[in-house]
Amino acid sequence: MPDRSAEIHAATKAFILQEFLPGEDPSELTNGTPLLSGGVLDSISTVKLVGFLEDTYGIEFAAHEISEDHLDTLDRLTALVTAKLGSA
Amino acid sequence: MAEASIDSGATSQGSSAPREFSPALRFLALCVELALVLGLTHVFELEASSGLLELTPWVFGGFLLHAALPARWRLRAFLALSLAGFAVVFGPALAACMVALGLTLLVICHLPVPWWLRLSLLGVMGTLLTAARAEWVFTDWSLEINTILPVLGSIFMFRLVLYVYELRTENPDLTASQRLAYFFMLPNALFALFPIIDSKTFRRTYYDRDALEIYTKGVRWMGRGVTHLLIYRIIYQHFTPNVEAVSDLGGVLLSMVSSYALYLRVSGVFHLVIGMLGLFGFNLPETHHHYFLASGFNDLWRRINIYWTDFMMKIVYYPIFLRLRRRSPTRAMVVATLSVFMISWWLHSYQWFWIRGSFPMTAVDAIFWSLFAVTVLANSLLQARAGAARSLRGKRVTPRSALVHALKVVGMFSFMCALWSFWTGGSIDGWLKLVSAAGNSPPSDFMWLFAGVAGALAVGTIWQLVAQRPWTALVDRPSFRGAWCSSMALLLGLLWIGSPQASGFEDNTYVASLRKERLNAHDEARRLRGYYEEILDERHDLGVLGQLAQGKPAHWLRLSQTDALMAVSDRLYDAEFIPNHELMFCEASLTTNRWGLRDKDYSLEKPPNTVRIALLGASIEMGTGVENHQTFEARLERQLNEERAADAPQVEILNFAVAGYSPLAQLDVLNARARAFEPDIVMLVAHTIDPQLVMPHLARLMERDKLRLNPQLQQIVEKEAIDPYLEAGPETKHDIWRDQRRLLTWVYNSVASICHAQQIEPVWVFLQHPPNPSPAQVLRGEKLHDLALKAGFTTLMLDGERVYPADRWASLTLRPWDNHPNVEGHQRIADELLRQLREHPQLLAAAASTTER
Repeated sequence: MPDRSAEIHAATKAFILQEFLPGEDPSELTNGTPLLSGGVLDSISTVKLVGFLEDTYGIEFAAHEISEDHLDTLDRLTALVTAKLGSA
Repeated sequence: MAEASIDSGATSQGSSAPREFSPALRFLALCVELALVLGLTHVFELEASSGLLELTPWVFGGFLLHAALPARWRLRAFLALSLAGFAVVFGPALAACMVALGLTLLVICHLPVPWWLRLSLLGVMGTLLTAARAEWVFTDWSLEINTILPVLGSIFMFRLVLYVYELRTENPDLTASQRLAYFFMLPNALFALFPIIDSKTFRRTYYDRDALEIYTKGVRWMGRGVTHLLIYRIIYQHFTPNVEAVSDLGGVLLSMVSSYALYLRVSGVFHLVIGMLGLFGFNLPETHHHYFLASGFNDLWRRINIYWTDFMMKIVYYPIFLRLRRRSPTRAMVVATLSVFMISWWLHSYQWFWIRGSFPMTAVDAIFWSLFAVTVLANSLLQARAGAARSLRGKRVTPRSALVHALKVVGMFSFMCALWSFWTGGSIDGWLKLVSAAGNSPPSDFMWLFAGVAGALAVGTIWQLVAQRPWTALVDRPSFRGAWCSSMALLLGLLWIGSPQASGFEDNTYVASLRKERLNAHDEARRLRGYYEEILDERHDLGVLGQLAQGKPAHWLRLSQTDALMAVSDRLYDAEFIPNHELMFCEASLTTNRWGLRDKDYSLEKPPNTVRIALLGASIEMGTGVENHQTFEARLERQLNEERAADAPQVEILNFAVAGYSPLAQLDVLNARARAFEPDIVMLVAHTIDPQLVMPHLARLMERDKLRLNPQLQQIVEKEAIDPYLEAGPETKHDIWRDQRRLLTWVYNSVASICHAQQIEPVWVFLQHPPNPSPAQVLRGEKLHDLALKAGFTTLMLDGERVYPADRWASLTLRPWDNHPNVEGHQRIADELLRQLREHPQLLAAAASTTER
């Protein structure tokens, strides 16, 4: 499971860097970088990210999960996706 | 999140803010700053109609007490303070009623029954409250309840949706204090226009930073709110042109920009509310963040009211998008975005209903929201396709990117000004007419406009380039000491301006207009006209009228909306009072006698040794909002009889006034009704608004083919070619005044000739209402006076300063939304009229001698 988490973490980070932070130094995007509250993700990029995660991992997000509680950092995102995969 | 974990956040010391003051000194400095902010609300009487001034001691004292309490008690203390605030503003009984109704809604949410049953019960409760708010039921208790429903509605109309949503999806374990504090927040006792706050955000941000840091933010935001409200006043009083009089490009631009800038009042109130919550540890997200500087539609949507945006995303956008995404993400985005705006439109009417009592759905609203929807959607689709690159370190600004950004900001601001003026203008025709007025300007005016835009772009571009210089960080992120000094300098400056004796600005009109919440000249005139002739439709009440009318209960009706009147078909007026009728009108009892007069009973035949006065007028003379015995007519009659000599004739004043009657109607009342009572004196009360009332009345008579009822009137209209359909505008101003003057001349001459033919003394009384007339109104009053003198009236010009002293005006009117004179106002009118009659002793003496004959 740790491998799975690491893979999700890496894939998500790569997607965010490529789509929303082109040219950014990857080391600047840390596990705790605030994505929603920090303005990296707005509503459109958030649904884009959610679409990517749903399609990549075959999971479904509930509307209430699109919030800072679950998506504000890479760590929280990874934990949510991992939990969904674990319960699938 | 449990309350314990919230409370533990209160003691966290995670702040990285510089602290060159010790915490104790910093807190003391904040207290001084807060005292100054709250003091300014008193100096300028900010949001006085909402009750803010009564609550400022509670806010200040509550803040000190709350901050001194152990962290675990603070949330309960905030709840207790909030409930006390409701009791102060609404009285203990109504506050208890509001809390009981709110608790009932919350209890329903937690009943141990299936969700469909809970939602059905909430629906039943909602229907009952709707029935009370819309006054489908009309009982004593529903009237009482209605006074608190705007506030109860504003608290629950959206928050209950979020609460139920959260209960159904996550069902967090919360304490009773957390649940109740979310609904019953202190600022809601004052401001109905703060309905939405996300429940999770409310809890998550509670003491999520160092307490002093949050308090600092709260005080600064309140200060910013005060500044917004003061700028709003300046714009409203001095830079909001009368749309109907706009005649050139400058006027069009000023009208559009000012209509958008008036939104400062909303943002000011939001800053006050969020700041006030910050004083109690709620570190809520910033709202209305530099919204005039939005660079696109999505940017504006996020900036202008982030609370509304988050609500719509959570409840509408994400659920729809996720449901449709797998078929087509683009289609999902289109449907979700359009749904957000269509539902926003409906919810704004829903919000309007709870706050104002009506549910407007107009073509202008439809166009406004549709345009907004289409532009945001286009922006979203472009962004989804092209992507929106961001940077964690901030982008480097180049001259080109700065210019592009400046272009976007100027373009967005211009578009919003145009759109806002359309929305708040109320009619498509009116807005098109406003825009077309720009065509009257010479080409040089357009050159100036282009020069102005170019200047704005240059300033915006340079500003961005300068702002990325390292030294500007000192300005952007000043130390506490630096920020405190700047804030204090601004607040003290405002205090100095607001203290005319100290500043020497006593006679400055700008400073005077800052000091009170009042309508500007053309809105004041428009409101008064509405009382008389009901010319205005509801949409004209937008803007400051709408704000003032927030507390207006739904039962505060126009006379024609009550059952007081019966239609008449053969007169120049449409309706008259039902005889022997009693009703509550504007919260005062109104009783008519057997003759259908709002007065005590009189015989048709004049009693011996009696001087009889027939009073002709409209709503002020009728006594809107005061009891029968409190009208100036009743008071004057009593005072005249009390002070008369034993052998002097008694005085009877018969009140023929009816709200909505123009001078044309008053002439007909004299003809058809008053003459029969054998008056010795006819007292016709005039106001500066009269010329504007006779023309719509004439138009109505013509539309209903009623001119034939008075051949003389028909003749004068034809002979003088009086056109009541002339549209107001600079080019027709003189024609309209000419027609108004001709018609009023005929009315005055007719009244005087009827009186003279029957040996009745015609008396023309002029009352300036409201006070502080514009130069044009003063001139109009003088012209009316001339007409009355030429017609042969004895004229009595009531002294405006005696009746409505400048600093007493607000306390002499009924309510913030209704400027008819209240009980004291009527007393002052009676006193002044009595004084005038004493100065003209020949009037009553002559009438008495006639009586003796």
